[in-house]
Amino acid sequence: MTREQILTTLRERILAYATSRIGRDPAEDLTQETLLVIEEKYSHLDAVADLVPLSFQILRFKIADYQRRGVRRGEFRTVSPDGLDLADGSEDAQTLLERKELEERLHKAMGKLEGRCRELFRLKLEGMSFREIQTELGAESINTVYTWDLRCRKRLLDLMGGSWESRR
Amino acid sequence: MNIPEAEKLLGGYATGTLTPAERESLLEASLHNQALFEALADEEVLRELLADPAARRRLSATLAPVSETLPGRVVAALWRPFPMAAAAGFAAVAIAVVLMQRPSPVEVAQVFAPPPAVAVETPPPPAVAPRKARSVISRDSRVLRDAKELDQPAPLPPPPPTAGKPASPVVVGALERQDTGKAVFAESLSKEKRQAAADEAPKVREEAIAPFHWEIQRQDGAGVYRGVSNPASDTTVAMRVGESVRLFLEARQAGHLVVALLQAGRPSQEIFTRQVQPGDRVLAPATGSLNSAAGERELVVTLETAEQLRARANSSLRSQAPPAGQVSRETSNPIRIRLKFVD
Repeated sequence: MTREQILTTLRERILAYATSRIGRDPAEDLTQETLLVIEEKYSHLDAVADLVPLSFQILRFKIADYQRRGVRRGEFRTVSPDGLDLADGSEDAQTLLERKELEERLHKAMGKLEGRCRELFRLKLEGMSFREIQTELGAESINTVYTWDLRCRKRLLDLMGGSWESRR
Repeated sequence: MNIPEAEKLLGGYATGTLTPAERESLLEASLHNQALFEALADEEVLRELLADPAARRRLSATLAPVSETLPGRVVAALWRPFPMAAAAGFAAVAIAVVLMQRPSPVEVAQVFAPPPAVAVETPPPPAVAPRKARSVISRDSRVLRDAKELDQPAPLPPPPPTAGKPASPVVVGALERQDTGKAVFAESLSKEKRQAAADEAPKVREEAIAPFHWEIQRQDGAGVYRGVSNPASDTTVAMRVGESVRLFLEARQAGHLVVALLQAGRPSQEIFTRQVQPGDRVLAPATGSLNSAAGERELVVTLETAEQLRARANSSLRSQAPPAGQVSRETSNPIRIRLKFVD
């Protein structure tokens, strides 16, 4: 797929996602903002593996920003692309607080995991690939590991209240 | 890749467990399926958290088997027949000794000579703090997983030469490790050499002790990343187009680590930037691999300590700071790694 094709498809996905989170009208603006940032700051990226995760990061930032400010319809404050520097690595206090909260919730939930799920997540956090995990756990096939992972991920999500984020 | 297959990979996205091919297939599938796209977008908050080596390490410790934590090992070691019997026997002897002791005479006063003055020499702190045995991010971490003892750092490869300058013999000796696994530092130096090292401390140690260890890793046919020869800085490493390649780093100092990717005709891109502590292990990029299209790329790696950052912030360079997203960091230790992808 060309960059143009990717961005065209991405637009629909982003719009639908944002609409489900914050409503149609602000979602339109947020979608446009997101694509603008991608166009102006990341014009050198043209692979799906780069553009899709990038859109997640930008969109998450913009939705969080929108929700924090509680912007009313018609008074949306545009965040200029220069104010959004994902590569900078610096985060605001709110983001750091949310991340700390997530880590604490994860810590509690992971503490309740047992047996294979516990071991599986430990190996994943240590950086093993699914193939290596298959060897480590003695699974018959890699599909077995995928299935375990799917179930364990669901188990962990249930322990977290159904979502990684504490409020939706 | 169909959607049920893609969904099986979902759990590996945030943890960086997927191979580059799996990741690409998953992301491509998400472009064509809204539910999958939204599920991946919801994973973003978790992915961001797990991209932090420190957070990852803490969560991994939560999942460590009880016997592998220090208190657990102590309890496990004690809760065995021999230590228990020995402890019981010792307790019995101690009770008997106490019961058999005669009451000592009452002392009214006693005069002690003042203790002789003791010169306390505090050796300088070691360059590398003891690390926990567990790896943080690297998949190719067999060496680290084998080092089960918490206080026994995993063996490190010998430090690479820095920027073409031979390490000072004074400080090279300081980097050798004893059998106990602890870094030998100033104890091995004579007083004169120690004084000379102290006089030149900032310059000599900065030049001779590389702030981080790095290696280029290439993915083999089994999907495992393995280190290729660690070339000296300022040389070009040849790779084949399409190969999955990444940079592995291990910090030896605390500071702000930045990895920038330079490519002809494109603005520089910071692919990693974060505070690190000694022992932190980093992959750049954090997930997936570097762009392996034909052509040359350069990775510029800098690790700035807090002092260097402050000095830079206070200098006139601050007024000429480059726009966000561009890399122009003048530090004392940039390492440049050139990668050339050929057909």
